Amino acid sequence: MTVKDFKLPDLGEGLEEGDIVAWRVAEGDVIELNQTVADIETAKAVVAVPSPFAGRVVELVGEVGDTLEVGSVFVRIDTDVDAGGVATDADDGDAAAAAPRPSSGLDADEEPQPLVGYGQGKAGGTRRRRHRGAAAEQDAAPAEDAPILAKPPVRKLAKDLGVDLAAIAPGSGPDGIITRDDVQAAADDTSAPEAAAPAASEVAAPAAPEPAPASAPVRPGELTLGFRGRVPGEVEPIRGIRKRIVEKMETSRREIPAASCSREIDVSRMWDLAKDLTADARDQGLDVKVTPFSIVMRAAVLGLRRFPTLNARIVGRQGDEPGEIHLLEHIHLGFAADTDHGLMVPNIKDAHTRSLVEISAELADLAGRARDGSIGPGALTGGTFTVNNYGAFGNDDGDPILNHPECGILGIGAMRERPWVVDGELTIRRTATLRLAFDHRACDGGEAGRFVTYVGDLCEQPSRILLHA
Amino acid sequence: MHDIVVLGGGPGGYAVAFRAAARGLDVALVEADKVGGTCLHRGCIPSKSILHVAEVLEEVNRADVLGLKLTVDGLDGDGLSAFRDGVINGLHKGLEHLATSRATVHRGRGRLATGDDGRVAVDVTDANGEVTRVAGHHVVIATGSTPRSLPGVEIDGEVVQTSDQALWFTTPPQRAVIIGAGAIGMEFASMWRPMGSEVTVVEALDRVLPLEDADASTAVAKAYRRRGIDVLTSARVQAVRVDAGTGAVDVEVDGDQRTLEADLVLVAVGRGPNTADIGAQEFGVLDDRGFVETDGYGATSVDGLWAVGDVRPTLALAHAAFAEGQVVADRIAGVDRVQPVDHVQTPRVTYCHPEVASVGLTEAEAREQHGDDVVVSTASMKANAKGIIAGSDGFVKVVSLAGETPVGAIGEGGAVLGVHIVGPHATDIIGEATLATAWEAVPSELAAITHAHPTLYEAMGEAFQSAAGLPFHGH
Repeated sequence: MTVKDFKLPDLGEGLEEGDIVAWRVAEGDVIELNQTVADIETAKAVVAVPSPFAGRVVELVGEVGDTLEVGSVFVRIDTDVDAGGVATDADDGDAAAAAPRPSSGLDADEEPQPLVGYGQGKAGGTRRRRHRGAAAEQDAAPAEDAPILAKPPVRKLAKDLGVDLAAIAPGSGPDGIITRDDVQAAADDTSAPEAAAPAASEVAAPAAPEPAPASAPVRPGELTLGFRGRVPGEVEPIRGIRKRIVEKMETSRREIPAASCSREIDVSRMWDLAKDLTADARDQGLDVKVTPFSIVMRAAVLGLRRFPTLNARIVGRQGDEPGEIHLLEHIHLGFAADTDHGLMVPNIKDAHTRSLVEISAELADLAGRARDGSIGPGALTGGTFTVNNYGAFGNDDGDPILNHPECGILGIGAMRERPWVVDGELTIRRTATLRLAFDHRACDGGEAGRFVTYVGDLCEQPSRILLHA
Repeated sequence: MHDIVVLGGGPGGYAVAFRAAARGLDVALVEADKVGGTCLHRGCIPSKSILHVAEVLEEVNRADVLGLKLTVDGLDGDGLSAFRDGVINGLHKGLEHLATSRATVHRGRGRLATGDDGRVAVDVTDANGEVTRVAGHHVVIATGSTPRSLPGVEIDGEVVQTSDQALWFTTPPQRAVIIGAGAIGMEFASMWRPMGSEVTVVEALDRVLPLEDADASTAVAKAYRRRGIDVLTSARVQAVRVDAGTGAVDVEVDGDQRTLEADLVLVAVGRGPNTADIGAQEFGVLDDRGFVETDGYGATSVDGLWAVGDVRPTLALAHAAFAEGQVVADRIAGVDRVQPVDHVQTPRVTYCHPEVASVGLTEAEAREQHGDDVVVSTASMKANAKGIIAGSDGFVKVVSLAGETPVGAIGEGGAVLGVHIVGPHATDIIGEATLATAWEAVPSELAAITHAHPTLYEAMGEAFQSAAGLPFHGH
């Protein structure tokens, strides 16, 4: 019997854990390659996790409601079983190749794989405690052999916070030593045991406001809900999507010396063109709305091809290492989506290979899924450049923050009729302000400024986009 | 309206104010006398200044051992006062600056009142008798304590004194009787004896420093007797009489009646809460001894009314008040996961000679709680290089559990429950021990930490190694 450990794969950039919502297989089942074994809920979505091995399920590690860390053993599969003629453990690395994303070449035995071929499921209701009784601990076989290691101050912290060290061993430190962060995370888990995960279920029914402090009782009749159901005096925990936003913004502001430049442009032609193209698409039976914003995105792609330092990534700057600037071949074009859960930045994969109508369709699809919470982690990670349509809120201009580790973000303000000078005459045109924030380490002002001018030119005279179509 | 009004500017009160300011809160501090309280003006700081002089004299008395030929012309009382006052004034100046820059300081006597909004407020009466109401969302009682006396004993401030008066001497008493062998009484004995006073310490309980580990009491009593300080334990004071500037203390020891004559009788039987005239009674937050009743975080049963420091029936030590004050400020500021002060883990320090310091449980307390599962390991200062140089016969004693290794600990054996030190700089070297007990470290973890050599504190490392079953120089 050859038993392979299937470790919980990478659920998306930065998501380090997920909760088991449902097992889709049972111990003893013979499963096929890529068969869904469980639904795992992350801070972003519920993901149907496919098996990288075919064989017989020897053991399911953990029970519904448990939180698993990425890289922890999750299913153990005996691959010596002939599973309906499906190739068995010929090449584990190839499990990933079945997916649209390029294989990372990682071996499932060695380290967590990027999750591929995920599907969507219903979000789980409540998150269960991470703590389990002794009996449950016995069931989770590998954990019981793990030594429980924690230094004195960590033990004190665990005692103060009421965290059972045995329930969270092994920890995330070297040799499985339990760290302060592990204890804090466990305490966070237990202090809000009934908190709904920030996933799809919340869209239909916004979470009830937390009870206000006793000293300031809120009478229901007087309660006026603020935007998105928020009430002054509430205390909101930083977790889930909000936690990601907080970390992203802090990292961006801390690490990236950002500069910005802007240009006012006449978008009248682009405005009309978007209407014409939408009508054309309809005539051809395509239910796609081509928006001025999607034309901006298309123009941005051309701009990024001409100025590659804006579609780049700074890699390997650590200690004395100067690092490298990687000019990326692919453009995964992100856009800021305002949702009830907070800011999300889905990205259109390989936007440089997409036509305007494809970009328009994908923009609408991803935005819709971001808002209803059904979007998966894959669409939310891996972006290389972001476009931000804050003009949609009626703002003339904005000051966008780079979506770390990207090197550029292009914002566009409201497209309104404004006074404009054409051939020395004051006239009324529909205009907008383009603003680029860029990582000044990767890109000089000369490049960034020319990028804005170039993208602005394309938006003013969108027919020029044809040259590269 | 302030976020917090603190009634009392001693260690407890200013700890609340400073922490609250650090948390971004708006604080008012009400002080009738000087910011700094008993500790700075009538307690820890003046006594430590004089104790330092006494310690120098102790070294001078050892001159022959050290190969020094010295003659001492005696004590310059004015110089002593100037030194002591210089230390106080320097600290006071700094503290005033901190207080005024971090809080709105109201000078005057504060009294709790009920504001128009039903909240607790403080009425401050200034030197001109004008009353100002200072309102806040929270009020913290931090009025401290005053020396207690014995029933029937009149403090005349001349012959019969408390520490409030006795600190300011320029000539040490020829004959002193000290009633009470707690920290204060023992410190005064250590002050006066090297200055030539004949000192008798009278203690009702069966040992000096009765709150400390019995071994510490024994060691200190032995050191005192060797230096010519008379130590009477299990001695009941029956009367204190004053006649023509001389005091007489009637004591019953082992069934015998004795009368001790003295030029100065120091009553050092402890301190009581200063809550009689602050309006606290009206809010029903005092217990029958006058202490403010609070939960572990310092909150009273009245919404928005808190207390810190000596007005609570916890340890009457400045650093205990600091810790309580910081907890109260953090609670008011809404800080997550604030832990109440665990006074078992608050170090106790006595600046007598030799110094005594401890944290955690005494051996007796440990045995009471854990029975035979207790291990005691002692390292003597007589085997420690710097201890030998200092002429110390003190020790570091580690009390730990035998079995039951804490979950997660690396190594074997139980946690360290208490550490007791007698010897030079004990009050400084207790620091490491507070980590050991508060973190429930096991001896093998502590033994793995490198201790510098030669140092006094390496005696603690030796004791940890012995407790881990790995004695180095010790056994």
